Formats: sequence, C-alpha cells, structure tokens
Amino acid sequence: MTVIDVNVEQDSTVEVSKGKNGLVRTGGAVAALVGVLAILPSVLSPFNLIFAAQILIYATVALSLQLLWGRAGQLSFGQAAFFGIGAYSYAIVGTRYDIGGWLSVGIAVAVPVLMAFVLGYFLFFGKVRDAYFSIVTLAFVLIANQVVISWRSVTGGDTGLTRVPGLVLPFGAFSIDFSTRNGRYYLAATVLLVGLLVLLWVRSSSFGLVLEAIRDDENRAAFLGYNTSWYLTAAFTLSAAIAGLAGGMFASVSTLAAPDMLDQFLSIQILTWVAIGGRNYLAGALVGTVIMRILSDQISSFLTDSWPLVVGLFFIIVVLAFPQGIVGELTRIKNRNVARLGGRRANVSPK
Amino acid sequence: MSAPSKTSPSLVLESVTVKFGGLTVLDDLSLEFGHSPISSLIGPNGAGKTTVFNTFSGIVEPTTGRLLLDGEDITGRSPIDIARAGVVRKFQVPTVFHGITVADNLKIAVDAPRERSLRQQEGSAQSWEPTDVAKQFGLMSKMNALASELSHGERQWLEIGMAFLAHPRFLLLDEPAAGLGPEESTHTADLIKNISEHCKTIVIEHDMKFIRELGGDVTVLHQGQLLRHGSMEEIESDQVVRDVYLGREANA
Ligand SMILES: Nc1ncnc2c1ncn2[C@@H]1O[C@H](COP(=O)(O)OP(=O)(O)O)[C@@H](O)[C@H]1O
Ligand SMILES: [Mg+2]
Repeated sequence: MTVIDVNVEQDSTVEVSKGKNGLVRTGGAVAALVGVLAILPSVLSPFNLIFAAQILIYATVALSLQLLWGRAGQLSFGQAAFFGIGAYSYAIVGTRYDIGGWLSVGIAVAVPVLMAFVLGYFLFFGKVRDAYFSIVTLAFVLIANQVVISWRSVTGGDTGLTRVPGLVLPFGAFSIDFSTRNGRYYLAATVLLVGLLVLLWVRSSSFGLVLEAIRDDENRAAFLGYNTSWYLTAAFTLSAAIAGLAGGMFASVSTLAAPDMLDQFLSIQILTWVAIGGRNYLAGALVGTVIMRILSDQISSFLTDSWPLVVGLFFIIVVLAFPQGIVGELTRIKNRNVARLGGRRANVSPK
Repeated sequence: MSAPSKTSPSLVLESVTVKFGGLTVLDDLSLEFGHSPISSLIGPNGAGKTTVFNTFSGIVEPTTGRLLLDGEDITGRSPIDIARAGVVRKFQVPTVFHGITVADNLKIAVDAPRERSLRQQEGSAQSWEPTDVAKQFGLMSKMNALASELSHGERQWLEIGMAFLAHPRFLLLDEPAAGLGPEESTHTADLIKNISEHCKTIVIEHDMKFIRELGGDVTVLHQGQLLRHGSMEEIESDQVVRDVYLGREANA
C-alpha cells in the first residue's frame, strides 16, 4: 500500500553523499575549488581580485546560513547581524585599540558567538521556532543596525569605521601578511575554505545528522531523547561563528566597517543567494552567491537605482522555476538521467 | 534509581485524571504495565488511549495522580527525560525523518542518548544494531533510500524499528497496523511479538484480529476509565465489553 506524498519529488533531490563514493566526490570537489582559487590571482585584474575576495567572503556567510536553514531548518533573517558584528568587532579593536593578529580574529568570532549563544538559548529553549524565529532574527538585525548607526562614538555612525588595518598573522617565527592586495584575496580564500571544511565536517558528523532529523521532525527527535533545543542553539552559535569570522575578515579585506554590512537588506540578499543556489546543498550557497553577486554587480553598473528590482525579479523567476535551487535542479536532472540510463542511483533500491 | 531492577520493569498510572478544559479525558485511571511482555490497550475512539500514551511520554501532565516507572515517580518529567529513561513511543501517524536515508534514521535511533543505568542494563534491546533491525523488518534493500521513498507499511516498520533500537524499557506503539493490508498487518504482528521478547511492549490497536495475533493481556478503556483487564478470550467473551465496544464495531 502506498500513500502518495507530495514531498517525494522534492525530497528526491536532497543530497545523499555518504559513504566512500561521497567522500571521494567531496574531496574532488574541494580540490577543484582550491585549484580555481589558486588560479584566480593570475587571471583577474587587481580590481576584480578584490571583488572576487569579497564574493568569497559573502559565500562564506551564505554557507553559514545554509547550516541553519538548509540543515537545521531554521530560517534566520539575522545572518547579516552576526556578519556585521564580526566586522565591527574587528574594526573597533583594530582602529581604536590597535589590536590585530590572532586576537582580532578571535574577537571577530567571539563577540557574535556570545550574542548568538544567548539569543539562541532563550529563543530555542523558549520554544520559539520557524516563522517566529525568523521574525525575531529580523528584529535582531534591525536593532543591531540601529545601534551601529546611533552609537557614533564607537561605531562611527552612518559613515562607519574607515582605515581598518589589514591582517598580519604570526605563525611562530613567520608571519603572513594578509594586508597586501594579493594577501587580502588569499585571506578571503582561506576564510572560505575554513568555513567550508568546518561545515563539511558537520555534514558528515552525527551532530549534522541530528540537525537534519530535527529539521524533518523535531518532535520525533525529542521523543527519541535528543535535547533538540541544545542542538539548535549549537547550530545557531556555530553559524554565527562562521558569519562573524567572515564579517571580521570582510572588514579587513575592504578596510572598513559600515552600517550596510549589518542591515536587513544584506540579510535578505544572503537568503536569496542560498535559496537560488539550493538551500539543501553546501555547493548551492557557493554557486548562488557567485551568480547573484556577479549579476548584481553587472546590472548595477548600468541600472544604478533600479538594479535591486531586476535582481529581485530574476530571483523570483529562478525560485519559481527551481524551488530546490540551481544545484537542486542539476542534481535532479543528473539523478533522472542516471536512472534512465539503466544505472542505479545510489539511493534507489535494487528492487 | 533506588531499586536496580531485579524485579520486572513496571510502568504505572496511579489514579490519573487528565482534563482538557472542562473535558475529563482520563478519569481517576489506574493502570499497570510490565507483568506481561506484551499488552494491548483497546477501546472505542475517543476512549483516551492515545492520551494514556501522551501521559506516559510526558506530553500531557496529569491534572491529578502519579506516573511511576519501576516504582520511581516520573510525573512532570519532560518528554526528553522520559525517553532517556527508556519509555519510547511510536506515534499514531507514522513519523520518521523523511529527508534522510533509512540507514541514517536507524543510526539516529540507536545513538539516542540514554541514562547510564539503562545502557548498562542486561537483556534489553541495547545490543541490537541497525542492520539487525533492518533485516528483521525487511528494510535491508532500502537502507540507502530516503525515508520519504518508503511505502506506508515500510514507514510504519521503520518507525517501529527506530523505537526498538532506541534502547526502550517500554515500547509504546500507537496503532502500528493502521493503514496496512492483511498480510502487512500479520507481518507487523510477528515483528512486534519478536520485539516483545526484548522489551515490554504496549500496543494500541483497533483491529481485533491483530490483537488476537499478538496475544498477551488486554486492557479495555472506556470514557477514560478502566472497563476490563484480562486475556483476549476473557475480553471477547465479556458481555459489557461486547456492548460498549465489540458490538459497536460489529455494527459499524
Ligand atoms: N490536547 C487535547 N486537547 C483537547 N482534547 C483532547 C486533547 N487530546 C485528546 N483530547 C480529547 O480526548 C479524548 C480522547 O482522545 P484520545 O486519547 O486521542 O482517544 P483515543 O486514542 O482512544 O481514540 C477525545 O475526546 C479527544 O478529543
Ligand atoms: Mg488514538
């Protein structure tokens, strides 16, 4: 007996990348990414290289949202808040207290982490989920933005903080200067790879598996004995850590921290990057960010005011056509072709 | 725990009343499970059967009365704590994690956090592995399929298998044969009989044939009160039960 389930079509695109094959494929994909990242400095103009560096950092923050939204099922409108708090933390300690190096990186991560932990703890243990969670995170980014604009003496108000120092990281007797033009690009690439490796670990860990279970049916997980509120708080905090790292390094790469790094508009953009690429996939966050950033940049060069309209329209069309995003759609086509060619998809049983 | 369970495990409702607003759903109800490896809870729709399970699993807190596990008062504990103490349930509507594979569903169940005393208990379901359960439940060929790709029956079996893997001391199954055909239903009864050799199993069902196949003792609930308790033969020949329940079923 079969019950027709409207979700089957959707679900069949969810990534199944476990086992040895999955590991090889993931390793190959990461190696290819490293290769592309290594080549870019020799093919891009200096201007485009900084543009690329910013995209890589934006992609990192998109990855951090993918953890929360795609894996744990909680959509946050507050991702830009943690990104911006990371950026301002780095910029404030750098410009006002002359703090740099590892400590400034640590602060860019620690401040958003503390805030996310407190906020996440009270929200998730207070049974706030789903739409209510999204609304509270939206309120959070609005408040954080207001604070940053109003607290002039510390944050520089509307103009933000300029001349933020670049990053120099000591490794024992050596140090790497990430403040040069190429250095800034390599910093961005490193941030992306660090974020990606952490999230790949989550994907293969039992922590990540339980998050997926919570996304699918939180009650079922709780009635098996899992403390789901802790898991969600941990996911929220980890997500903020990566967003904060990305934000801090964004301030370093672009040598400034400004209120538009911490506003609802950026939050919504991050969300569109993840949605358009495919929220169930790490690759989706990467692909979506690259496409949308380049598209926005191109369109805004000749439509100075109305570019968000065009980009928004593009977003709506893609999401309507491919609800599972670009990577989701590609996966579906691939799976269908494999099935049609008589081969067996990894997750189709022999029967 | 005060008394390490030399005695057989027991799960008890002690004079429990549950009210929703003005509606009394369980009415000074006392029940004890654990004597028999397998027990059935039957009664007409709305009798309060699911509410008994909801009380046992901490979703519903009794208005008055107590809930005891192996003699220990667990009234008011959270569902998570109760699950960790080894009271695991299957829901009336099959609930599995549809976006992950069957193997991962089983892995999550077997990895579920448990009280240490329960981990150390002997003779429980603790030594079972996902592949053992998948074999028993005919899910071996579906291990890499997403749970959403399973048929209704397979989903029922997966959820039962998950509950069984989650180190239960008491396994509560709410309508495990709902929506199954006759053959699947018989298969399910066999599975549950096997399970009940390893942990105490309580089953809510409507299908009398299914209850007969299960064996074990039977508790009849009616309007939130205990109507009868006994073997299936006793229950089926009981005139009061026939009037309120079996007769009604025959008419339906
Ligand atoms: N959370 C609730 N709130 C209000 N009424 C409820 C709730 N849960 C159950 N009931 C009522 O309690 C009665 C018993 O329900 P239930 O235990 O589900 O019955 P059964 O499982 O025996 O069919 C029904 O009348 C039902 O409407
Ligand atoms: Mg019921």
